[in-house]
Amino acid sequence: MEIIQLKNVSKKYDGKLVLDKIDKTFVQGQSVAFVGHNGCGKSTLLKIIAKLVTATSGEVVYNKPLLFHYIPEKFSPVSITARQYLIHMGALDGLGKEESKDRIESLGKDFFITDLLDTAMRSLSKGTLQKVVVLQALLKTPDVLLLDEPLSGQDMASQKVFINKINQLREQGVTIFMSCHEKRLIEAIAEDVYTFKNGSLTEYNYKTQKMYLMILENTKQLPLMDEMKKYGQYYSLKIDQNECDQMLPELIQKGWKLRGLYDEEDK
Amino acid sequence: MKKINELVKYQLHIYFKGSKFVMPLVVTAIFLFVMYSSDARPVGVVTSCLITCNWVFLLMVWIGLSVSSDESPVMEQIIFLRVKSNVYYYLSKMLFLIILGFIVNSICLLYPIIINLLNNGTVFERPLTNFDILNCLILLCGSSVAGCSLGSFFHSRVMKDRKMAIVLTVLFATVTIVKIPIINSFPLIKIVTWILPPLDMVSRIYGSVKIFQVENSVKLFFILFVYAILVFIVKSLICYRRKF
Repeated sequence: MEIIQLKNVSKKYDGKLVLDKIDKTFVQGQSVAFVGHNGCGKSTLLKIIAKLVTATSGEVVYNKPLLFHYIPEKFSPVSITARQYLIHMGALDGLGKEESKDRIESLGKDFFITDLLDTAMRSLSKGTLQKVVVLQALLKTPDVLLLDEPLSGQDMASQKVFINKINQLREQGVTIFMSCHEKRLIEAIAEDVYTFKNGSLTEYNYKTQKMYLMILENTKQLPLMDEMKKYGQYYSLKIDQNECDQMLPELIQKGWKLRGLYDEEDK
Repeated sequence: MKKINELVKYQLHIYFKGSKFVMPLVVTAIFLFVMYSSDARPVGVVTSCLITCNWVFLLMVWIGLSVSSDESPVMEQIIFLRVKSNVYYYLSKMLFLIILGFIVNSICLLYPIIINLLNNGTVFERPLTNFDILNCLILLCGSSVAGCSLGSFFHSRVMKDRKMAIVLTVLFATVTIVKIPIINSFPLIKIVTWILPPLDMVSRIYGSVKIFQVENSVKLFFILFVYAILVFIVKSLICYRRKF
């Protein structure tokens, strides 16, 4: 079901055209990521979709009233505790006090911040504050979720939880719009990826050939391969995905120990 | 209505958990102490009310300015999307400031009443009646609403240059207080000063009398309240059109 339609949406900032006549329809449950360099218009488009920013020309049409929740990249803490803030947000979402409290407790546990919920938000670290922002967006299931660099400052375990939660929301039919640089997150959540070329929205395809970075430990003083480089106390080896599948068992058989395997673009 | 209620509660919670209210409270305490100190007694009932009206106006300009300067666009966006109604959102902002004004009015009204009771009715030139208290409350309410409307007008979405916003707010508030002498010296300035809060009307009506008249007080409240509502509406429309 179509829920949001962008009709010839353009946006100018200080005379500079950031978005140029974008015509696009989004359906319920779609998960869309916008990628591109800083200032290319990703966040602006997210805000235009939510009608937080007015387009210079064109219009945004919803097929029904939509509840948007928003996870911004930067967040200014207020002078109350995280739990108090979340209870207020729950009340604005129409949740009862007890329902809010239970939901906050359960989400706090999922994101490993139960002990920090009663700390003043101004005393929380950037990562924890970002988790509070995520929690406020997950208190009630929205129709549309806007994510603007949602993982900034979050630890790996929380990133995993976050990805699972977002994918659960997708299964429930929540439409996701994301502005993001992290390929790992885009791969885990987005089904459609767009970038901006001269203000127009174009489909984005990742390189088909992926490169990986193997981190290996040399415990048996084995001879090094030419491509190997010193990596702390270990050695790194940059390798493409086909070679990786073939070479990894051979290296382990020789006596190398695998200490890490990363997507080269994410490293 | 429930959403407006929740929004107002949220804003009050944040305001009183922060430290923004401390300085206005301290300054008000000093003002009241000096105003009703034994050296100044006995004070005129109407005169003290007029002075307090001007004080409350300035104080609410200060509070309105500090509240609107403290708002973070990101926090506003998160709430704005939840509430889904421009009217609810901006109405709650206005109600929040009116409630703060009412708290200030209560302090400024109760202090002289208590001091007068503790001093066996010697604080004022004549016995203080319930009629005086009612009239003073009406005038204080009008002044506080006019003050917070002016103070909160130059919101960061109305004027991005915060220094200019502060300078203009202080200038407008000062000119509002000294409007009568300025107009007396430069009558032509009326062409411009009509845009400022009509606080001078309180002094024009009650400046030379010793007794309140409820019709005049209600009329003044109505004029100040309508002015404040218009200013709030203009500000909200500008914010609505400019978005974020």
